[in-house]
Amino acid sequence: MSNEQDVCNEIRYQSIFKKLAPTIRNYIYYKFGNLEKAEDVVQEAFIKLWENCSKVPADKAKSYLYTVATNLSLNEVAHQKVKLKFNSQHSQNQTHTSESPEFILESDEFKIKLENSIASLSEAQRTAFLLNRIEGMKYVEIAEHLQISVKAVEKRIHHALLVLREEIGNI
Amino acid sequence: MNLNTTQKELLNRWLNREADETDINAIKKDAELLAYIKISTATSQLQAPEFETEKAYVKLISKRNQPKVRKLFAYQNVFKYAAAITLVAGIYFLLQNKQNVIEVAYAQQTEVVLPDASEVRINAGSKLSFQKKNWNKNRLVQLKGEAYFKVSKGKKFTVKTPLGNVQVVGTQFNINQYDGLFEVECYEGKVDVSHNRQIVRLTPGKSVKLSPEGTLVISNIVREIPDWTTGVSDFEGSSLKDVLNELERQYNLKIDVEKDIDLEQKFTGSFNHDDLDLALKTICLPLKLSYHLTSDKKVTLHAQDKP
Repeated sequence: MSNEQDVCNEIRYQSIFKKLAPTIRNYIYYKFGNLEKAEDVVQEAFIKLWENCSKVPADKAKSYLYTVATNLSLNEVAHQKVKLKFNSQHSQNQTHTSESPEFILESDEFKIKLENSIASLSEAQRTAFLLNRIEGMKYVEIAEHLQISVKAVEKRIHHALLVLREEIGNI
Repeated sequence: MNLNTTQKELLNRWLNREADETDINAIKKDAELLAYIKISTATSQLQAPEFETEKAYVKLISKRNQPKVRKLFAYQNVFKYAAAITLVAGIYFLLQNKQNVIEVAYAQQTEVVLPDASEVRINAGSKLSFQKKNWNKNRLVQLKGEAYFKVSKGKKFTVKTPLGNVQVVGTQFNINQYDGLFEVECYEGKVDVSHNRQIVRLTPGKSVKLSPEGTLVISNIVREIPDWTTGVSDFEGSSLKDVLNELERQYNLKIDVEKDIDLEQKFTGSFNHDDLDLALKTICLPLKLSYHLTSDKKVTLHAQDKP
């Protein structure tokens, strides 16, 4: 018997997928740089969630999915140098209220420079930094998903910024 | 990182979208921090390749249901081959392991010599089966009814009956396992008798009987060899039911008993196998019964008329 809270309900399951699948796909993509693999991991993680749907309450689904996705990708060799591909950005979105318009991305040239620099980050730095920057996750959230301390998240992001700054040079 | 604690805190607040006006103004005055903020802002404008949620969901649903279907097909093939292999193996097994079955009709007794020269004398209305193949490695016979074994020395010898098993090395013993009865008499050597989890070791001159409570009870035997092999059936405190069953087997009779006769009453005594009239008298007289013998081997027992 499925209770109201678990994810065996098809509609609830679908809404969880729509809400979480894109971010989880990106998380694995940032980690390993392989888009196809990342999408496979998402599929497998959600199949696992369905198989165990009666045991996973809806509010635990998120951490369950991140754990499963992380475990599924453990066998994947973590490459130090991963060249991620990003879509061209339209400047109108992603602007947070606390961000001043003068900070927005200036040119395509800068974007290419940035992309190349991100490739020189370590897997740990890259994942934490991009989850914060692109997925908009706060330190606490990242710490939860990566199962590390908030302090460790902070260190990884600061390190990422340091490396990027050195790579890009003076702006 | 070359930032001091205040700078780090400012950066953290900004990255966590918790920076207020004061923080923003402080950042704007700090060239070092501003560089990091610029990189951070630029990065947040990057986008991972688009994730086609709808498409992915459709794929997920079909994939989610797929493994079971695949497995089923795989199993069907496995079953197909397994069935074929089982059939071939089964035929081979049947040919190789043909059972020798000896059934002894009522009013008869038979003697069988097993492949290792062990002798089995089988009483009326009994069935014995064994396999010739691998006999010396696995001396196993199955018995329903009664038989007297003279086992040659060798590896362990097992008799399986519906009510219990008997295991010996080399000995002479009698097993009586007619319907509901299970009795083993040891005449020579040592005999291990098991029933369910109870195991009893018999020495010569001892017998064991399965009690109505389902336990094995040991007692003494007085004879040199089982009575029935010498043309006599001997009873000591057996129920009338068991006695009449033995009589039916030895003379191939059908015995009808009137309702008012107690079939559980005890009988001690014996009857011969070659004179039915005498045998009936031997049983009926002490129990105060009378009998009526019809031509087609039917006997009716009734309580003796009171004088």
